[in-house]
Amino acid sequence: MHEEVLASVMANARVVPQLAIWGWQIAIYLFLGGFTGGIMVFSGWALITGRDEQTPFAVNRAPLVGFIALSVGMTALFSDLERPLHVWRFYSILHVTSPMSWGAWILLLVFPAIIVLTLAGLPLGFPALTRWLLNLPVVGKPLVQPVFKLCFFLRRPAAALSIGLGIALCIYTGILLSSFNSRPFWHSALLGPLFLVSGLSTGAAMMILGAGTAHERHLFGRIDLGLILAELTLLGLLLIDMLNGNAMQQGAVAYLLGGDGAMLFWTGFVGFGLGLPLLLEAAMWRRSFMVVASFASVLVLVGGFLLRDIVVTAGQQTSWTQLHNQFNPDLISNLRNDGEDPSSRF
Amino acid sequence: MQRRDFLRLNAIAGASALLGPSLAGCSQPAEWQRLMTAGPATIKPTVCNMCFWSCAGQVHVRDGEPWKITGHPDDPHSMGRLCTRGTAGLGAYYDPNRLIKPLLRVNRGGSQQFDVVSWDDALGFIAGRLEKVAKEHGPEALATLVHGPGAEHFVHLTKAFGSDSISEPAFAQCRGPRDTGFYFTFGEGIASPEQTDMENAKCVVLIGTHLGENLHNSQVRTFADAIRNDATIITVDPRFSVAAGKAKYWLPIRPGTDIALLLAWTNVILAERLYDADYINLNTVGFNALAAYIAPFTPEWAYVETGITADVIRQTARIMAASAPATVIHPGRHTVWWGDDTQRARAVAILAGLLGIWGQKGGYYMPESVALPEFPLPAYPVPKKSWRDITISKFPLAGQGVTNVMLDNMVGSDAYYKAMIVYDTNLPMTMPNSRATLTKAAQALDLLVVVDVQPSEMTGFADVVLPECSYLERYDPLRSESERDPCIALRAPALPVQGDSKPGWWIAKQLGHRLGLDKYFPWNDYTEVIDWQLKQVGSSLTEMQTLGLKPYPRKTPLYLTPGAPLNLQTPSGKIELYSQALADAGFDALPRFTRHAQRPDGFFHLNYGRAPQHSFSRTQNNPVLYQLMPENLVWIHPDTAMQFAIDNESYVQLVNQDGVVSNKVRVRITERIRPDSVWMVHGFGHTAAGLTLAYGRGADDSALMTRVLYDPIMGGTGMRGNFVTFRKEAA
Amino acid sequence: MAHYVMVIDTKTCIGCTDCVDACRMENNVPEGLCFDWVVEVTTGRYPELKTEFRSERCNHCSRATCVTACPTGASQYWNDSNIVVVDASRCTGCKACIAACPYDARLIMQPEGYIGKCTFCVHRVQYGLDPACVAVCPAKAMHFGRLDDPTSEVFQLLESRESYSLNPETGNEPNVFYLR
Ligand SMILES: Nc1nc2c(c(=O)[nH]1)N[C@H]1C(S)=C(S)[C@@H](COP(=O)(O)OP(=O)(O)OC[C@H]3O[C@@H](n4cnc5c(=O)[nH]c(N)nc54)[C@H](O)[C@@H]3O)O[C@H]1N2
Ligand SMILES: Nc1nc2c(c(=O)[nH]1)N[C@H]1C(S)=C(S)[C@@H](COP(=O)(O)OP(=O)(O)OC[C@H]3O[C@@H](n4cnc5c(=O)[nH]c(N)nc54)[C@H](O)[C@@H]3O)O[C@H]1N2
Ligand code: SF4
Ligand code: SF4
Ligand code: SF4
Ligand code: SF4
Ligand code: SF4
Ligand SMILES: [Mo]
Repeated sequence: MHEEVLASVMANARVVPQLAIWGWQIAIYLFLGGFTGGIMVFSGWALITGRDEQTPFAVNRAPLVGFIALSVGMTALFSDLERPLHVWRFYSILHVTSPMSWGAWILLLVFPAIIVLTLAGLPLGFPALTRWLLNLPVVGKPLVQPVFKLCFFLRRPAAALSIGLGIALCIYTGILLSSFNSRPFWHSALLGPLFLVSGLSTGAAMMILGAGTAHERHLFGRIDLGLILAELTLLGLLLIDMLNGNAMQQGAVAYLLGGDGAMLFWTGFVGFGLGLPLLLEAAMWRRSFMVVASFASVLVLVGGFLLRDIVVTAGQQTSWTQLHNQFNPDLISNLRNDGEDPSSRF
Repeated sequence: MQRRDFLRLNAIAGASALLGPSLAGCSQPAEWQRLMTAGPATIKPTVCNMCFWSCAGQVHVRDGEPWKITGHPDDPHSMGRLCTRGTAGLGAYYDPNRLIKPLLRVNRGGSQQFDVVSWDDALGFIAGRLEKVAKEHGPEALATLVHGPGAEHFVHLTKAFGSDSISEPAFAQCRGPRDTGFYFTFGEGIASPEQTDMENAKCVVLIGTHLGENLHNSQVRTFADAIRNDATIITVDPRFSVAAGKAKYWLPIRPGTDIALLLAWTNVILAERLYDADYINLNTVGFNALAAYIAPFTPEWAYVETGITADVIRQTARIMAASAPATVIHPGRHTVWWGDDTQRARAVAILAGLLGIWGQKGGYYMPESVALPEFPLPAYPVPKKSWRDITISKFPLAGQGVTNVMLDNMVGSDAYYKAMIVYDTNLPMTMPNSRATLTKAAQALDLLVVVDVQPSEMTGFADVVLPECSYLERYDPLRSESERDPCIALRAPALPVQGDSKPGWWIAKQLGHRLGLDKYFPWNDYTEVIDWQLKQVGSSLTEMQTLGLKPYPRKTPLYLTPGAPLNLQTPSGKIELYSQALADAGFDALPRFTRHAQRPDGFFHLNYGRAPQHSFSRTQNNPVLYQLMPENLVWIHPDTAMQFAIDNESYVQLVNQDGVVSNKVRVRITERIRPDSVWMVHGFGHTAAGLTLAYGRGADDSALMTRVLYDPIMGGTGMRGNFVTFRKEAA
Repeated sequence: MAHYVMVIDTKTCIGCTDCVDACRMENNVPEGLCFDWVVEVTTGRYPELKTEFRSERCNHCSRATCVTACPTGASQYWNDSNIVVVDASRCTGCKACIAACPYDARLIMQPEGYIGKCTFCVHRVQYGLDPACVAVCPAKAMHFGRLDDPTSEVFQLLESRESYSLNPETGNEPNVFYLR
């Protein structure tokens, strides 16, 4: 028999779950980052290949969705910082060994590109909003008008850049996690490609949801079908990789396949996030139906978030150390507040 | 008041989500960065009171803020290292539950409660009642139950008042049997600190003594020295204690059968002539009687009783003898186990005597203290009645007042005692099965005063509760104990006094004044007494305020000359292997093994002891120690757990043989306990609601000790004869 | 480069957790958190048992992944040694370093939000003093010093006795050693 317990009480993350390192905010951020990356890739591609007519949503409207999504993602990330006021510290240095640092700088490049695409698409995509902006007092004519013009002028170079940055953004969210040797479940080279494909897939799903034409919907439906297949393959490879990995990796996979995370993984992600949309998209290979396609897309988006959430959580389930409190750690939260007046108790 | 910010985990988990943490402190450096450039701290001397080992320490104050307490580097008790509890001393100072105002019990509309009163009112009330008691029943009707170094002030007050009924749990709940057993063998008790020369020992034998969990500082340090020196450690314990984990031989003895083992060891040593015949001839009496008596108690016989194989008994006996005199047979400390404890201590002492370790290097060294003169005072009045009058008829050889006898004599309208002062002891948890008696006593007594630092269980019985300030805020009598290296240590106020709490010396003097005993308190400030005493031994208060501790050279040798006669203080001047004095008083002159009550079916021995993080019942509310150990656990063997379908880390209640049910307690399933026993740490399961951290946490062993096995010789309250079974918590 | 190591003797460690306590007092560790902790490992079946206590903390890794993962450089080596510290004024609380530490040695300081952990008591080490936990250990089971100095006690102990460190497979090159 082997009994390993803490002789002192530890209320650190590994032992007290509510102190876990990263929660849903990071999952949101990783999801929306990949989602935006996917949108950038497809919008950029549509623009460069001159599909203004066939894919109006991808060209004119999607960038705004991406911009908003990324802003929300950044807000989630920001809210997860324990010292948000120090956020500027990210930009005081590029720390080459730190994926987190790379990510911060990538975001700094992503924003200008996506803003250019957004503004370039605005006059055609959202005419009412454009009019309102142009009519703004003081800044309207002298500032907004030239900016629109400039962006429209820059849109093709920005589109080319967007494809590269979009891919970087998608992969980065995976690389960030896979760089952590200390969390065995994250430590796989397949995580980057998986997150890339998943990001692209959610981007495609957005195109389907917002599609301006039947052609657009059908086109991205077929693309997404391929991406889902690729994602399933990568997921399978990842699991095999882990099952053949060290004990801790096996433990993490067990957590997904049969443990506490199994329900969410199998039913939520594999079933509803990948399997069902795969079937639906496949069924629509010849002809796309708006309601069905939209439903499938929503499933893909949910699946995209679940993937991030599951991976973020599962990675934190395992570690090199196995610490276990013998005393009830919840009792530590009984510590009282300052300044109680003892005499008031009588 | 609180230096540390209290962390609320749940709040963090929720709030950090979107609100973001507080913006305050963002530009602040980390604590370590502050420390990098911090100036030196001021250091004030203290003597630790987290337990009664009284280690000399130093309180570090930085920028006016109390920072930490460390051990005094020259102190033989601490050697610059305080133990887990001593290090957490500031927690006792900061504890927001501390008593800071005197309290008086009042009857209002049929319900009783405590009113906050002024010191003047509280002291006046006490003096009035005490005078009434003295007038109606004589001053001898006052009993004072105390513990710890500060007790001296109230001992003095009680004697000045005219009573000698003073007792401390250190006797009948702790060391009494050991010291009595050694007294009847060697003519003196074992000192505190115990004079065990473990750092020079080749073999250390621990019988029950669970050093490591029992964290008496220098004991643990010298035990570690023995381990480092590869001494053979022999640990006799039904539980795989920390000390057992360090032992070459762990003897997982059947509870309550130690005398059988000790007799068998003695048997081996005599049968195999493993003793020094010259030493025995020169220094012992009763050898032949012992030899004749011991013959039947062979290792084979002992195996049946103890479960320790004859082989192991022989091997360990031979190692002890081969290492002698550098063999420490540890005398134990908390020795009130099964009611035959003085006799067990006798068996230990006889073994030690045969091995010739008294006064020898690696055995028992000869302790020495600094002779500190008493402050000149008029003689105490001679009491007309004494504690002996009520004690000797029951426990003929009790060497000092017996707490339980005194308490029993407080019950009823014609009780011997009419008033009680309690200082620094938490009787309901300290004395087994005492709550009912305490309740009756509290009703019968004309006055019950409790001097405490926190609203402990004992304060709940009081008529008047007097808040003493913590040891970090007061002067107390100088520490001058018998030990390896004589020295004097000073406890001086290191931190500002909180609230209206007062030092014990002030309380005693104020009471003395109101009782017309001013001549016994001829000082304005207790520092005058300390200073006077120090000046008699070539120091002064001023010097000690900087030194904290002053070592003195030894005047007598640390070890006795081998081969020289011992000249003990026994009637024969020799080691009394056979005790005529015990025989004369009607007791066994040689220790007898008796089989104790068997555990009923489905019940388990209630075993208990210490955890390094806590002292008795006094530290559970300390916020620093609470973080290390917030509750006690009940250790259960896997087989037992299986039998009762008890899950690890579930909460159960314990039910004892008399149906008493404990508070809920968390289960630890572990191989470290015998299948026939459970184990828990003493001091938890507080029922005093004022202790907001400790209240209701864990279970109280003393409440389950409804079967008390009294030692007929000296009155000790044997606590180990209790059995428990489990009640699974309804969700 | 100064190479500081801690050597803890499991033969004499009694699991008293005084090291945890001393650290809390010395470094003003927020309530409920700790920079060090004690693990108790029991193996065997009654009555053939073995218990070992291990006082654990940040390993001040020679190849610290927490330092490489930190985007701002807040996590850093002190004074060209292997002592890893966090400069609170540079820390964003992004927790990348917590995720990157294989020994789970890091935690969020409350309420300030910067990342805390064992500092090897660098504020004492700079004056040549032992860390607080080492200085308090009642069993004298803990030792601290420079491994790049062959005359040091820690060097001698590691030379003469069998020892291990925690999960060297992490590749972080941990610097807290346990004597068997
Ligand atoms: N069931 C059971 N009973 C036992 C034991 C056991 O193991 N199990 N152990 C026995 C042993 S060995 C002993 S020595 C005794 C010890 O028994 P006690 O001496 O009664 O020890 P504590 O339980 O710590 O109670 C000490 C009381 O003093 C108060 N106090 C603490 N500091 C101060 C101070 O500075 N001034 C004042 N005025 N009060 C203070 C505390 O609040 C507490 O109420 O218990 C014995 N009783
Ligand atoms: N941390 C800490 N240290 C303390 C104290 C404290 O409160 N906290 N209190 C101090 C005081 S005043 C005292 S008196 C001492 C008490 O400490 P000790 O004198 O060491 O007390 P024991 O009763 O011998 O210790 C209990 C041990 O006896 C074992 N035991 C139980 N039944 C039997 C039996 O039948 N036979 C044998 N051989 N062993 C048995 C238990 O399993 C347990 O390991 O501790 C001192 N040290
Ligand atoms: S042994 Fe520990 S608690 Fe007792 S006096 Fe010494 S330092 Fe204080
Ligand atoms: S202080 Fe020393 S003996 Fe106690 S747990 Fe820590 S390392 Fe072990
Ligand atoms: S143990 Fe963790 S925190 Fe410490 S240096 Fe190594 S990686 Fe960094
Ligand atoms: S939390 Fe602070 S120390 Fe840790 S990686 Fe982020 S910025 Fe660096
Ligand atoms: S070295 Fe210092 S900071 Fe690290 S655990 Fe020990 S006392 Fe704490
Ligand atoms: Mo005791």
